[in-house]
Amino acid sequence: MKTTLLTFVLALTLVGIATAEDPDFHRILLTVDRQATFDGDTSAKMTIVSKKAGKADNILQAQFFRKDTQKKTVILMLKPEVNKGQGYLEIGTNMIFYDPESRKFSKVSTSSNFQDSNAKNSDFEPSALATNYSVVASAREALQTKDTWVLTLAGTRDDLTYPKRKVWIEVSTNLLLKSEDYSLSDRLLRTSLYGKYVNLDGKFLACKMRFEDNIKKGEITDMVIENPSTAPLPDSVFSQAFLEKVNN
Amino acid sequence: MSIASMALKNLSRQKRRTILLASAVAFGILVITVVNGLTGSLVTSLSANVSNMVPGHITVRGVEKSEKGRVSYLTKDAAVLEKVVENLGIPGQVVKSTVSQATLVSDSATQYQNLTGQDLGPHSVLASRMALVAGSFDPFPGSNKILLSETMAKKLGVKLKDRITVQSETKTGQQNVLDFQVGAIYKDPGMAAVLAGAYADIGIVNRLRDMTPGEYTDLGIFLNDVATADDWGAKITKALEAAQVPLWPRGTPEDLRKLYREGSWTGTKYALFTLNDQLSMLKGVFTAVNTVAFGILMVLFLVIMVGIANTYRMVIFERTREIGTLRALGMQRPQIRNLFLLEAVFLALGGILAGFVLGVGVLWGLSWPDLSSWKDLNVLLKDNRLQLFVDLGSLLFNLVVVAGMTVLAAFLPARKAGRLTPAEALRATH
Repeated sequence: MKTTLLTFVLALTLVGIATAEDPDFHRILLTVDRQATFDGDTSAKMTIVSKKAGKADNILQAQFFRKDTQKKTVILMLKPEVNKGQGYLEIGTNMIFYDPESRKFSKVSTSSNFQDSNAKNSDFEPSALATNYSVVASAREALQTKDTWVLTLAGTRDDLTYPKRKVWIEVSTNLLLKSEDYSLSDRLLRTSLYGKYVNLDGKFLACKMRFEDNIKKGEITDMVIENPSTAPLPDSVFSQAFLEKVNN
Repeated sequence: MSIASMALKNLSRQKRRTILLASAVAFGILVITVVNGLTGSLVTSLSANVSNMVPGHITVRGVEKSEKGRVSYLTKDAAVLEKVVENLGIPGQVVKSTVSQATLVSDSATQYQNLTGQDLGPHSVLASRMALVAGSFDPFPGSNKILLSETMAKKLGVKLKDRITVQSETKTGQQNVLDFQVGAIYKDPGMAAVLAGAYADIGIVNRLRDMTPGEYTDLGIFLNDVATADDWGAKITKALEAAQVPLWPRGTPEDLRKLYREGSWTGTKYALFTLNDQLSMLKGVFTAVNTVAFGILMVLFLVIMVGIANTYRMVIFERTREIGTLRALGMQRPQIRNLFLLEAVFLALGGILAGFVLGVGVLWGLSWPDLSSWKDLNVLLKDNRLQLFVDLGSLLFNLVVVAGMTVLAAFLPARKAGRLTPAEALRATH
């Protein structure tokens, strides 16, 4: 009887230790996604500065509009003048590009680079880490001064831009601070840093990001989000007609 | 004396006038011969040079569209397709390729280019068609060696045995990266380098695209006679249709790309295109040049026709008494008319012959200079020179048109000459 009780207490203790050391990482990913997915509409202006070795900085400005509840995104190019009026419309996983010069729409891949920067078109989609990836390894380490969970993720589908990722999530806030994106052959392709978040109605929008290409050395893209708003947007914004209309 | 010999003799009576009229005809023929020869030379060289760089003179490409709308090139479970091609007994070689759009990254530069995977080796089809300037095909089978054009090697700043990283998407759109080593560099195809791209063993390119060893994107057929590409293309299409292989309608690769993305189809369908389909846009430019040149020639000949018509009016005016004498001696009306018409035909033939000989001479002269310094245009050259090209079919066509126009110009004055009565003609005082 004494032995049985001792075994039971020991088992409970072990379970307790395991629970304390291994939180539910899937739940953490869900929290990351939930915090970055807006219940209403979002819009903001973004400035993207791409640096390439031996070339002048390429500065882009765009306005983005998101309706996360319907998985719709519109990005409208504002600068430079040559790109002004170009637009992207993403509904679900389908993304199309509008060129005002030719007045034509064409399908683009979400795994393509956004306007020759190191940001991918898929970077503008609402976060879906918990759906797209499963946790295959975990660790806890300090990222600069912040206490983070380091999760190694494997894609649950075979059509994700990055089949493997390693993400640093702040323990206290469940915010994504860093991501390393790997190729199918396990080569580090890109490092993304999320330096600053803005709190909008209890949701978090990354407003300072850096994407560093680990294959093309010296290629870095900085993205700054300004004037974020959660004001409601008309449904007509998320349409091909809108992209055509703003150019008339 | 026959009418023909009389016509020839008459032409020689007014040498200066005859030479002047024939020269006008000759000039027109010279221009059209040179333009046709140049465009023909460029098209022939282009076809020959580009045929080394495409997946085949005839290409059958598998196009797959997933439920999520993703389009990718993939030919799998292609036993039926391969059997159909084999059963037709096509005179040539069949090559399987995996084509991928890739980013080539060296220590100093990044370039975007097509990467084609094939069974490479010293006895491969590519080895027999591609001239190397460095390295050899020996180490390619099963290795991570990559074959680059001179232009691409220069842009990437790499030489033999240097390492480059190649980034591409897998068949399902995932990012993938593999390291390659420069195994050989091929002779610069100038502006066709983009079309030619880089080459590597099909096994490693399949790994890059996450395809299994038996899969490929393109089934290429290199024909012994490239001129039969369209005929064989039609035969293969018919045979594939009979075997119920789902096919796209024939078209250029650009037209087909638009079709793939439109509509709500899913599954795998095959696209067939020939070298001529691939070059149709460029060939269209040359056809347009030929058409414009022919248009200019027609305008020129309309002016010449007016000149010939006026000249023959004058000739008949000058030779009215002579016509009267011939008629008095028993020559019939049609014979008189035919005499003048034959003069016009001989005049035209003389001009055409002279223009053609001069045109061929100009083309021959143009085929001599070494144009190796025209690096970007050497896809249009053969052995760094313009190829001498004489289009006999177009010569025959021009000959008939020009001779016909000349006869037409001379017809009214000749008919008028034939209608003169002997007494009336003999009474003429001029």
